[in-house]
Order: sequence, then C-alpha cells, then structure tokens
Amino acid sequence: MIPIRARLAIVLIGGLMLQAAIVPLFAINGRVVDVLLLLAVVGGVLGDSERGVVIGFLAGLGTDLLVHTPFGMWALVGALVGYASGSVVAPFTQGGRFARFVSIAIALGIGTLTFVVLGRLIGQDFLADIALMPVLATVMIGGMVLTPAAVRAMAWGLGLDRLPWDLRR
Amino acid sequence: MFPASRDLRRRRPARGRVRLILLLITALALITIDFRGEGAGGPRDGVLDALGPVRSVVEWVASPFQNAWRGITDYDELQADNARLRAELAEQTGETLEVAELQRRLLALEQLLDVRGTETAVQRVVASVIEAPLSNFERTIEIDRGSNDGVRVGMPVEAGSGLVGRIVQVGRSRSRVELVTDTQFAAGVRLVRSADTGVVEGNGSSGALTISFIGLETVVVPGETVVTSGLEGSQFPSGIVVGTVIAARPDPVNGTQEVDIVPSADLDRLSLVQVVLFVPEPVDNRPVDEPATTEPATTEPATTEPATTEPASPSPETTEPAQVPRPGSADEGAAATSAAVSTIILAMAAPDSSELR
Repeated sequence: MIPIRARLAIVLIGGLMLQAAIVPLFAINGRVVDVLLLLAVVGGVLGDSERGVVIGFLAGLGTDLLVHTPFGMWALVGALVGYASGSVVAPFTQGGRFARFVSIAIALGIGTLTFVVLGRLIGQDFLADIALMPVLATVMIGGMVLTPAAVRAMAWGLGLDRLPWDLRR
Repeated sequence: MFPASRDLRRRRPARGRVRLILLLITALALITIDFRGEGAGGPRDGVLDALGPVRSVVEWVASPFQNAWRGITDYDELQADNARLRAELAEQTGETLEVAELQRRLLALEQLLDVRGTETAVQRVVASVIEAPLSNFERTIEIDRGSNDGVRVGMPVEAGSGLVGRIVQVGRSRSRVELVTDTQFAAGVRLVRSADTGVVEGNGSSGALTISFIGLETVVVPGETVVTSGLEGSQFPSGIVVGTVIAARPDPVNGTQEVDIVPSADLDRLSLVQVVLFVPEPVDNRPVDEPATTEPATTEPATTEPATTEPASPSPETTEPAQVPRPGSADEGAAATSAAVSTIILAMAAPDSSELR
C-alpha cells in the first residue's frame, strides 16, 4: 500500500512532467493548458480546503520551478486556488456534470487572473503585454477536457476509495 | 460531495485557514528572497537539467503528432511565414553582397591607415529555439544549448538580423534567454551615425526599446542603426546590431534625450539563434595614479608607462568612460581612427546613409 503522501507526490511530479514535456508540444498559438493549476483545483475540490491549500502550494511550487517568473508567485496562487476550491468551488460541483465542469473551469480562470493581478502588483509589467482572453480560453477549455483524468489521478493520490461523482453524469 | 471530505471540512475549518496563512507567508518569503537575488537559480537549473532528457525523448517520440497538430493549428501562419521568408531571402542575398563589399573596403581603409583591428573574433554557437512554451506567462525563450556547449549566464544571443537578448539561466544542455524587450534588460549601445553612447532598455508592452543618456546636442536620425557599444565592463562585445531609431524626444530635466528604437531581430519568429561566447574582461577599478605592479612585469618588456597599457577608470562608479584612452596615451590615435572608420562604414550600411552625404 502506497502512503497517501507518496501518492500525492507521484501525482504532482507526474503533473510536472506532463506540463514540462507533453503539454508544450500541443500548444495552440503559444498557449498551453495549465495542468498543475488544474491539479490544485481538483485537489481542493476532492479533498478539502485544508488539503487543497497544501496541494495547491506544492503544485504552484512545481510551476515556479519551470518558469522564470519570481519564485513563489505560482505557489502563492496555487495555495489560494486550492483553498478556495475546497471551500467555495466544491459545493458547486454537486450540481451535475455541467455545473461541475464549468465551476472547475471558472476556478482555473480565476486562478490565472489572480496570477496576472498579483504579478502586476509586484512589478511584473510584462504581464500587461499578454493577451489574456486566448490564455483564459485555453486554460479553461483545456482544463475542462483534462478534468476527468485529473479527477481520477487526484482521487488515487488522496486515497479515495471511489470517485466522488460518476464522471459520465 | 465525498462524505469523508464533508466531515473533514466541518471538523477542521480553522486548521485550513492556519495552513493557508502559513503557506501564504512562506510564498511571500520565497518571492522576497527571489527579488533579493538569492532565489531559485539552483533548483531551477536542476529541474531544467533533470527534465531536459525527458523532454528531448518525448519531443522525439511525439514529433509526428506535434507536426500534425501544428499543421492543423498553425497552417495559415506557416504559409504566411513561408512567403515572408522567401521575400526576405531574396532581399538578404543582395544585402550580403553589399556587406561583403563594405567589409572589403573597411579592411582596405584599416590597412591604409595602419590601424590594427580592435575587434577580436568572438566564437558563436548556433542554437535552436525550443518552440514549446511551458507556461502562458513566459518572458523568456528556451534554447537547446547549455553549459556543455560553453554557454554561460550573461552571454548575448543574436539572430542573423540583430540582438535577441541575453542568457539568464543555464542548464547542461538547455538555456533560457531574456529578450531585449524585457523590462529587466539593459545594455550599453552606440548610435552609429553620431557614435554617441547610451543605455538601451526594454519597454515590454510596446515591443520598442528606449535609449537613455544620449546628449541633447546629438542629432538623431530616424532609421539610424544602433549597435552594442562594447565599452569596458560591458556584458556584450561591440558591434552587435540592436535596432534602428524610430523617434527621439528631449528630456530637458536631465539634459539628455530618449531615443526609441525598434529591435532588428524579429522576436516573434525566432527559430535559430547564435549565442555569442563572449566573456567580458574584468573592469580595472584601480585609481589612475596607482601603478600596476604585478602584471606588466611578466611577459612584456618594461615600458616607461606600465600603467597606461590598459586604460584605467577614473573612479569605480564610472567604468564606461574609461574606455576612451586617456589623452596622450599611445593607443589614443589608433583607437580613435579605428572607431571613426568603423563608424563611417557602419553608417554607410545604415538605411539613412543618404543623410550623411
């Protein structure tokens, strides 16, 4: 039996590898899906805000290692997103398949916007140059597509005996 | 919702908030440490190295799928690029012949004036730009050369048409390049026509660059070429084309003018670049009147003015003016003549050359 922490580490490292090695190959006009942010959201929804904040923080640290923005920015955003997903987003995921996917997509969009706002606040002026709509569209739609896989992976990582929802309904 | 999660949520709401606060403080501390320049260079280099082989293998395996994907998503762009590159190739062929002729004339003039070439050949290594963004908020590009190829942090990177940026992170087989348009970017530059020097900085949003510290009396002409100055202590060698002037505006408060330039390199369409394996010489910060006692005695025969073999800075704060040989030094005439010849030749190559005559 693999301990929960080791399982979570495997899921997060797997997400990191996916983000670094595979996702970039399928960029759409230079925009990519944010797998680690998706894991932060799903971690918060499936776990709770307490576990979500830790999962989000660690997933954000993973992103920080990959990119060249100030180290810790994504960790900060991940912690906020993980916490908010556990406390605010989770109830909305009870409303059926459509509500579940849309609420996760909105959480991804808000997480991305939070990063941009935070970046602007701490002087990352280059963020003003980025066309946000295509980025949001890619992150949110791509996130919805990957949500079933992320839910299965995170449920295994959290040691849940069964999936919280029937993913087909 | 999953029952166990619901119970946890009821029992431990406060612990979640405490964890959130602690982790937010940790994240803010990490950001602060990074801003202080003591940040995550090592771990990031390690991840770059560790993931490099994995990414290479995955790219190799996935390349057919990736090509098919690009064929679907980027087809129009590829067609436009193809047409543009064909037109540029035709134009460049003519310009190459012109540059060869100008180089021949420069060499002839230098021989005529008995001027030694002041530029030493700097090695370059060609690198491919990895067109695989890891994030939607990257301000750097990644290239497939690293410390194994002699690449070091700070080295300039250029495309055929001009300066692209500088190396900011080096792994063993991959590196990251900060673009000239980045707001963190700064480099010493020279206006080819006037030979006035300044500092160019990236503007981010506009894509243009701004040169500061150009004298108010300097006549700046739109279309004028701007090259790296290569002054002492500079991270870049001299003569790398940076861009062309688009506008100048006076700054009466500082008694200077700010010059806007557009980068020569097309930063949106980079596929191959060259890393200039340039290592700047250490700046000599000795006071002018302090004799250099150790180095001159080793290989060169003793001269009457050992301290003048290398121009010394008048003060530690002003390293760049020390490039100008001191009046009366042996190299002054040759260096000035060489600079003048280089400037004339480069100005002839510039599009505004008609305004010189």
